[in-house]
Amino acid sequence: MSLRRVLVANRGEIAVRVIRACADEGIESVVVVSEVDRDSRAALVADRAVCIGPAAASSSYLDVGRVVAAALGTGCDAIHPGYGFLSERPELPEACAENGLAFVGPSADTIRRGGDKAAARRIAASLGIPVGAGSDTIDDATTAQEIADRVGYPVVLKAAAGGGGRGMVLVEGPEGLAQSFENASREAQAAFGDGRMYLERFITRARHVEVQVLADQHGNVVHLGERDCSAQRRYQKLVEEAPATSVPVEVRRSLHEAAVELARALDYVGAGTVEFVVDADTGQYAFLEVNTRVQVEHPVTEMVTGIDIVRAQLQIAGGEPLRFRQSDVRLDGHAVEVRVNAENPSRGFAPSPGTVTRWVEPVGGGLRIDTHCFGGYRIPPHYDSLLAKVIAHGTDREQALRRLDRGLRHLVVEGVSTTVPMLLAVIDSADFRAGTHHTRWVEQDLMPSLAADAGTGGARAGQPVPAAV
Amino acid sequence: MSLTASDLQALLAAFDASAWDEMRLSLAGEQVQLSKTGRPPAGSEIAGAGGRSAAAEPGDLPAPPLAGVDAARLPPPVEEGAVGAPAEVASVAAVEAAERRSEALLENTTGTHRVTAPSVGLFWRAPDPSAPPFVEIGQRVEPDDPVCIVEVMKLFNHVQAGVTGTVRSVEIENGAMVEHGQALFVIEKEA
Repeated sequence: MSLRRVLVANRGEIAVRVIRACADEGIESVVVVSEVDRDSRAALVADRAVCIGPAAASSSYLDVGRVVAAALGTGCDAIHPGYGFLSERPELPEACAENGLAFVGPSADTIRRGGDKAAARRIAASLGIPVGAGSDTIDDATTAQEIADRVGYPVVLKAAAGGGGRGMVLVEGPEGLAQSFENASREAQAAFGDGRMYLERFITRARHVEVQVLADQHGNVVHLGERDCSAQRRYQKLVEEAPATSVPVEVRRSLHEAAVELARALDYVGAGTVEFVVDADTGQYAFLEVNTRVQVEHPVTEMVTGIDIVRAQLQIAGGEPLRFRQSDVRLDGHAVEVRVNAENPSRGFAPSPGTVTRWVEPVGGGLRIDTHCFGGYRIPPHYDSLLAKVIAHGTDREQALRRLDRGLRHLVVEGVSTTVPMLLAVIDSADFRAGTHHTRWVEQDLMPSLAADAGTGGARAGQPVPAAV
Repeated sequence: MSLTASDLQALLAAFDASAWDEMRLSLAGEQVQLSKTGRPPAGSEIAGAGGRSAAAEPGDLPAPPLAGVDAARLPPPVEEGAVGAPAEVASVAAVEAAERRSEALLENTTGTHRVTAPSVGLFWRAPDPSAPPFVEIGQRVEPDDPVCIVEVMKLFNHVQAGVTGTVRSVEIENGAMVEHGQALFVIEKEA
């Protein structure tokens, strides 16, 4: 049965994107909104908007009961969760199943097995997919020394209870290891009340490469190639591109195969992404995690494959078999996306809510803007700061980047600060153009050099350059 | 004879469906004036009522106890939110803010209180299908008295009257879906 009416359980640009796909599929859309999103673009373009709660996401977009009640009350037959919010909560597909609604995504069981990092790592390892050299928790310096000798230096010691970059120590060679272990373990004990450590081989220049997969309910699994999302700041992706031209073709092929195999092992249904880290120096790769939802950066894959991933999600949820086979998937040119956030790069990327007093989108060949903004839009302070994704497609990377550069320079945003100057600095830098950047490059190299330029008056005329944080 | 709320709704629907720009109706001393031009009808006595009443949907009708309020006393629909804003501004937010302010004004001037839904969900007037409703029109209520349930997936939110007064209208049909913030009851407050 194909879907008739879909509840869009999200906000912002992805809600608009899903509504667009519904329109293209001839499906009615109902979007849930919180009190502060009643006048959002998603509410205006959907066939219907239903206010489900106050601004606080915990009482609106994160409330499974309210979302399902809205779907049932408006006669929807399916729920599309977008990304973030409830998209990777197994409770939502469970509640859908209990109430006779289709969920646009994989089963609760797949989300549980794929979303739990340790569980997913075990499944990947059992399939022979590299999961990164490292250890379980280590109790003493002698064991640490043995493992480090085995996996090779440099290694990183991580506090088992740490996270988000805290409790990590880099060790370059065997001489400093024992002392570093003792110190780090003692610090972890003091900071987290837990001195357990584990150890991983440290990849000096890591690239983040992920593979897009699509799987239907009839056992067909295909991949749509890979994306490179190595330009990050504090684990937040800034720029994403497809294909990952800086990674050797054989490595990319291995990643595709691993992703499809993993999707099969997870009984995957819908659109999903398998993330890997690739060592830029050796070409070795390791599985990172599975994202059981549509990704923010899905448009770059759509631009090079010509396949509408969100429409495919809706077709799959309606029970249709995939309309193409692996051999039909062909890549055309190159696409690059940047995330324009309402943040102030010169003030530590502080969120910059407020009213967008003027909003003019660029026009031009190969440009696509996915956004929920308009002139007069009030950005509520309650949610994330993504304003728009600017995506450029070209016959090759050079052309795509030229188009993106022009597009970004012609995007007019007044009333709030945005990350556009920072994004321009990234895509115009020599390292990024050469494709030699890695996941720590923005913080380690680019931002310090921008700060130095700003200090010596070396900034490009007329182009504000953010200071380092 | 006097016009009821449903008479007015029927009139509005007929006017909406018509090709007319304006309509004036006089019936036994009562006057109804409708306009699609964004201005009061020619010769109208309702000055400065703003354009919104013209485009009113049936659902936008003021609740019966409020219908007698002179529309001329409402603030203009667009207030400071849109002043000086660029021409491309979609002033939905400003309009809605003005609507909320006018609702508050109405409550102050008419001494009424609107009980609103705390969540999206199903509106139930009784604790269970066999029980009598929590409240009936004309019933006197205290602030803590339960007036209805808004059910969200088997989670039953009891809604209280919030004020001391008399129930003047029930805005929603039993069992219907309500949105967060939607008016459920109008209660006439005691002074």
